[in-house]
Amino acid sequence: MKLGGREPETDNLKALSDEEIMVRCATGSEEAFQILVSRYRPRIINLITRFVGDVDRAEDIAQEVFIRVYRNRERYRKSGKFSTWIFTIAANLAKNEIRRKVRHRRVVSMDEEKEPGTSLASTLADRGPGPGQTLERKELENLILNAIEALPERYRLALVLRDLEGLAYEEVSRVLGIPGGTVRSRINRARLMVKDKLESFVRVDYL
Amino acid sequence: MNCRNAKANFSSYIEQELSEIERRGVAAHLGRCPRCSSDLFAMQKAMSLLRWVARVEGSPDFTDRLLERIHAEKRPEPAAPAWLGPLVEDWRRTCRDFGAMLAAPAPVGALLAALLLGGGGGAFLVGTLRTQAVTSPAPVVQTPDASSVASELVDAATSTPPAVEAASVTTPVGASPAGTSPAGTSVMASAPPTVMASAPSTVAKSASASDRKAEPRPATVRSRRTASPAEAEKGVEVAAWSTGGKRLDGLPEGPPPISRVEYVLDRVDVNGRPIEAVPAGLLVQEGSVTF
Repeated sequence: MKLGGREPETDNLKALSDEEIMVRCATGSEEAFQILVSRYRPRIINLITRFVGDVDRAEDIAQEVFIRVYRNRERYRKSGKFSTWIFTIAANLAKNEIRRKVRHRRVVSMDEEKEPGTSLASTLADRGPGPGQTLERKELENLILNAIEALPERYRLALVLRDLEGLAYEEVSRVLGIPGGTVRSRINRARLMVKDKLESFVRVDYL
Repeated sequence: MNCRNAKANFSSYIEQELSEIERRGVAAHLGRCPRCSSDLFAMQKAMSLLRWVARVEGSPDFTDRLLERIHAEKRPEPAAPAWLGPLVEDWRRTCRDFGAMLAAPAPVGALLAALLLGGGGGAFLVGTLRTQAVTSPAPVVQTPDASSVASELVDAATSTPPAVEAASVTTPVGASPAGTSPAGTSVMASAPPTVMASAPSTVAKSASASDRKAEPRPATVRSRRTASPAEAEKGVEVAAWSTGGKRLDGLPEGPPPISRVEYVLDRVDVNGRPIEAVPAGLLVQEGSVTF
């Protein structure tokens, strides 16, 4: 959708930091908002997908994340890091979704319930490698996704933020609102759990 | 140091965040415990595999749909047909009054509860509420209608965070924040610094069109690490680079010398068959771990 922005202004905006663009956004610049969306859309969708395990639902939640950013643009303070802010919103909404799913799961019958760890893999398999790719890649990807999905919520989010999205420990700490030591502990624990899940694939015996 | 303590420090050890004393403690334990040593290698391998998973980009019309929603929010509510005007106004007033009732002082709330528990009919209930709200001295709520009240409640429940305080990291836009190793060497936070990586550029070319959509974007190397003085003393030339989990296009000319290659990531699948075409996005083919 074209919103009537002038190209030179867009180019100027692209050179700015997230925080500076957010300030422009707060003053009503839709172009600024679009640039933020283009910068963060893949990361936000990826984060939420890895956490909730459903690509379509993740897109809906990602839309809500950006709507929140837009609605609250005037409340944003430039002193804060924009990425921390938007990841915090995304993490909160993703956690809400997980809780909603848990509540829903309690009322569905057992035979309707999916096997744990299948939803993310099956969802992504639909959008995964094309026909030219090997079956092995799908299998491996499913193994990895299942390992991530099998993690308890508090470990999974920390791991995804750190190892898939590349956030620093300090930023993960701010996003999740927990101390840095707890973040390190959770991520270490999560990595060990993933290692255990992928045991047959990653084991190197030196015994 | 026992196995439990060593495992608790694996991540910090890999990312070189331990103090020298702690690092030596872990290294000493690894030297005498093959099981933990094997576990550490396996964990590093698992970490590299995590970045192997393709990124989900979302549908192409994501931004258009988002902007459409935002424009819809900004548009004024469509005007009701003239013949509906009185009804609409009546309904809005009712909703507004109901919102005021919810936030009203205790006596009014008690009346509301009594009415609800009393089981009056719908028309009676609405009519009474309106009367009470109008005569109430303290209509606190200023929300225009009940749907807005509900919206606010949802907003509160999902807890949009307030603006974040000053960040200590001043990372450039688009770059992952970097940590610093004890030796003062800059290390990318998004990838373990001890993982050596090299991938042929032909990997990317072999990707199909459908894969290009999901695979990571090309990235240039964003950090390199050379041996720390302590490592150099031991005769270890270490070099590692990170692309922040992105595809290894545009690697610098020739890899730095690798003095110790501890493992080579299997180019076989889980069934032991060789992987003919290295999938696009595969980040690590060779690995180096230094102790």
